[in-house]
Amino acid sequence: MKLYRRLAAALLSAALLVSLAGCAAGGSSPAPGSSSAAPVSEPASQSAPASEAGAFPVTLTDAAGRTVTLETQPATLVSGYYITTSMCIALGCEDRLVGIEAKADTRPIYALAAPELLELPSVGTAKEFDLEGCAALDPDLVILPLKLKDTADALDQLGIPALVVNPESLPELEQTLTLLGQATGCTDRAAELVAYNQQTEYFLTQTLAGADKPVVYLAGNSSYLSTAGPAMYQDTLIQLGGGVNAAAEITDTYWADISYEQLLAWDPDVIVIVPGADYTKEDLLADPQLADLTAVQEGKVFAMPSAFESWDSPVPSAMIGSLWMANVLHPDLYDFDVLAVDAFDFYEKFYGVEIDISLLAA
Amino acid sequence: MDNGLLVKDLRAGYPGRTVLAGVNCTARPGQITAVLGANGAGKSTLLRAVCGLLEAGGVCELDGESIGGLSTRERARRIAYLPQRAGGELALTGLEMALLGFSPVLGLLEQPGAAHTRQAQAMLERLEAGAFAHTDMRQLSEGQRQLVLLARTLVQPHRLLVLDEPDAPLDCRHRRVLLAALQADAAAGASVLLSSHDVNFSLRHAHRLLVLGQGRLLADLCPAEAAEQTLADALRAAFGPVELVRHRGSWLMIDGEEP
Amino acid sequence: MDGAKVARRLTVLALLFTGGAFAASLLVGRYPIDWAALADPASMDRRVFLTLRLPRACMGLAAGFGLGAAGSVYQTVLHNPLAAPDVIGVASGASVGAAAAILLGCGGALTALLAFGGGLLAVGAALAGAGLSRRRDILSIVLAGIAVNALAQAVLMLLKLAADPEKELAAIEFWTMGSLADMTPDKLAGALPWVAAGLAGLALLRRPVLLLGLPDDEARMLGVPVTGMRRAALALATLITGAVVSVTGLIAFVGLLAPHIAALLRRGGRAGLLLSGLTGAGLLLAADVLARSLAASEVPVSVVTSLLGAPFLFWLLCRKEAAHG
Repeated sequence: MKLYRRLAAALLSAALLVSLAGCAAGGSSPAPGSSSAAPVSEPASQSAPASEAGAFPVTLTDAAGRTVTLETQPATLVSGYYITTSMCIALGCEDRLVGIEAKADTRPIYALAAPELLELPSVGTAKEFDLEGCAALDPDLVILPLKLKDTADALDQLGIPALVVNPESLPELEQTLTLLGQATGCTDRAAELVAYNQQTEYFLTQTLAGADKPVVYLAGNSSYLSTAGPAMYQDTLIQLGGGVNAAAEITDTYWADISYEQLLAWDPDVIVIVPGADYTKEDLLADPQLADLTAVQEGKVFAMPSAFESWDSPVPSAMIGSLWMANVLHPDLYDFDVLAVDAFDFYEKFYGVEIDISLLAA
Repeated sequence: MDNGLLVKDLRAGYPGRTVLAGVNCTARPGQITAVLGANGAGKSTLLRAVCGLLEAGGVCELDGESIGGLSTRERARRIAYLPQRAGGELALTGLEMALLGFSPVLGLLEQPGAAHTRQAQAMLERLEAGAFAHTDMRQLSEGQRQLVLLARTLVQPHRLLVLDEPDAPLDCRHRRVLLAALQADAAAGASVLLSSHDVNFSLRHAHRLLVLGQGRLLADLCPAEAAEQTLADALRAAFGPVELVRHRGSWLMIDGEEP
Repeated sequence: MDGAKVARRLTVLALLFTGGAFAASLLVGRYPIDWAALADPASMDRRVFLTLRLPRACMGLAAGFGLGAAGSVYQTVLHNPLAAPDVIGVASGASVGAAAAILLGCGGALTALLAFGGGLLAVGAALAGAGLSRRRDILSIVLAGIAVNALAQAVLMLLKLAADPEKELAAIEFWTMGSLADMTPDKLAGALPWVAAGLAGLALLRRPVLLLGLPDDEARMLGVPVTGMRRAALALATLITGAVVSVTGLIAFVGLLAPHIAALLRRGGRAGLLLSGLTGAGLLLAADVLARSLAASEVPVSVVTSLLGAPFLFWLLCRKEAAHG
């Protein structure tokens, strides 16, 4: 185990260096878009920092501006947020989780990549966090979303270190990965994931540069008359995928409800339904009020796959969501077969799971 | 200056409606002064105006002090007032209700003491209401409630006792009880001012009668001394065709004209 | 039996029940506290007890007592058996104040003050509404309360729209479903002084406040400056409600039911501040113990008080009807 980690760490840090060099040189990104996986085959560099388990004690500043000091690498973790639970899987520290957020059974990726998570005790939701239940698990570190900042302070008073994160945008996603990496001692893996993100972002920008940008309407979770404005990560998803958000004028910072009239006025080229929506693509297509929409008439209504993660959120696999979007909007520039390989590789590498690529279809 | 209540040119009413149009009267210490009059004559308004509960013009003095110039608490230590249908829906036992009469003399943190409780209990018993001391007010009949409320009013320290139709819910027996209590109160030096529809009760027991009609004082007289014609004229002005007969040394009013 | 003796005996009973509920509140919870380890200052058991269990039980006690006492004051002073913080809109007003405080980024004590301000506005609006209405019955204030509640909910919605969903929204939504789950010593310290100040004021004014239960003229002639005293009593009750709401969110029914239950226990005669408060505290503590043991995860305590309170209110209404008919 120890040996494996050491080896992997060396390889990964090498990957980081190479990828950074790649970005700096402005060359084409090696990771996505090529059928070969991330460049782990490069020889290990001598100058790679030897920080396989991070450096402890470590003092971190979290998303709420709180200072958190960890004396040793935390052996038990509680994650009160699905995004950080996913990150734990991606960083490879999911075996240290002893408690996670409620409704874990609604996250297909847990069942796929870490079914043991479903057996863990729930520490509640953002509305009703179970402080005592969390304390009873005696974790070395608790990871919470920003809205549970008060809870984090309460945990501090209990002598349980708590880290507050706020992954709401692409940069914040990367910061969160880095922060979690430092807190859990998985810095190299975090760096690798961040690098993957940056490479993919660069790859998408390069690949889709100059392409026509279709107007995309992102249909929200609870109803297809709810959507996300530019203040939300979902807008980034559309942009990375080479589209323009139909709801550009919406100023809400949360899912906004709109009217039929509004949607007809926008008349988007493409409609994309977020993963895990409460309705189906067929429901939307069968709505007579929407029959005249260009997207409906031209068959440009797509549902994001529900089998993996909420790709419309800043989850660790958010980039796969962007790649999926790019494939849907620009199949000529980014082929489905390439997407299938990229997604397969990503999940195999970071989540240790072989996904069924047929589930990627829109 | 113990000359009781002095009312001069009292004008009072409600927004858009004048009820009292300049009333002059007195209520002397040691005396029972009864206000008579038909419904709507202004009896209750007079009593409320005297207590300073209405915006009123004119003069209202008690023992030489303007009642309107007194603070709420000072006034409560001089005037005890019982309106009609009093008591509200407050959930209190009879004794607790009677003890409220001591409120004006209790300090903010002070509770009624044993002496207060004894006095209140004695007053309840005097009014034949001792049995209701531990009964919820809301379970009592109208008349029983009235006795408890009378006890509260009588234990309240006062120089002037103002009662609005205190006898209305009472039966004949308890009217006697009420009378005895009022006579004792007057004998102790208070001015007693009450309104009533029981003209014969007033003719027989009141020292002075104030007869009101249409917001004006029709007569201010002593029933024991007034001439029959004066008395009869005043009552007819207020009540229409009535007649007076003499019975055991006092007047009785009988409804209707002489046959 | 002597009324004072009954009252004393009932107070002792209520004390025992509330004490029992308080003890249960200390004993029941997700963390398996090893009581032997409490003496060890470094143990997690001790920290859980001191920073979670104890503040939660204390807040349950203070909130229940405060809401019960405030409810009894509203009912007495407004001459209305249905007047309660949650019925006449005070609690919603307070929650709007607290939500505004969150948006402005205020801390504990200031949140309680803004909640108090919101509550005062609401009670003022409800009284003005009831005063304007021509019907002079117990329903007018309830109707005014419905209007105030609706208004407060609308303002709360607007505040939600202005809120940042990841930071403040969760906290704002939380006001609509009261809970004691995340009580901490800091929050307790933020609310307790105000609750205590309000209760002390009401205890000081308990005789005049009782007299306010009489028709105004009688209260006046018994020496109470009615208008000022009514304002003071409502302000104190609203201060308590605001302080409680600012840390627990809206807790339904406790303020309405505690005085009625206390009066039922008393079987006639006055259920004063103390008995109403104790009943409220017992109710809320018991509901909170249920809230944390009913399901695998925490249930907001307001859900439990509503589930228990609503049928009781129905029963109370039917009973009143029968008594009148």
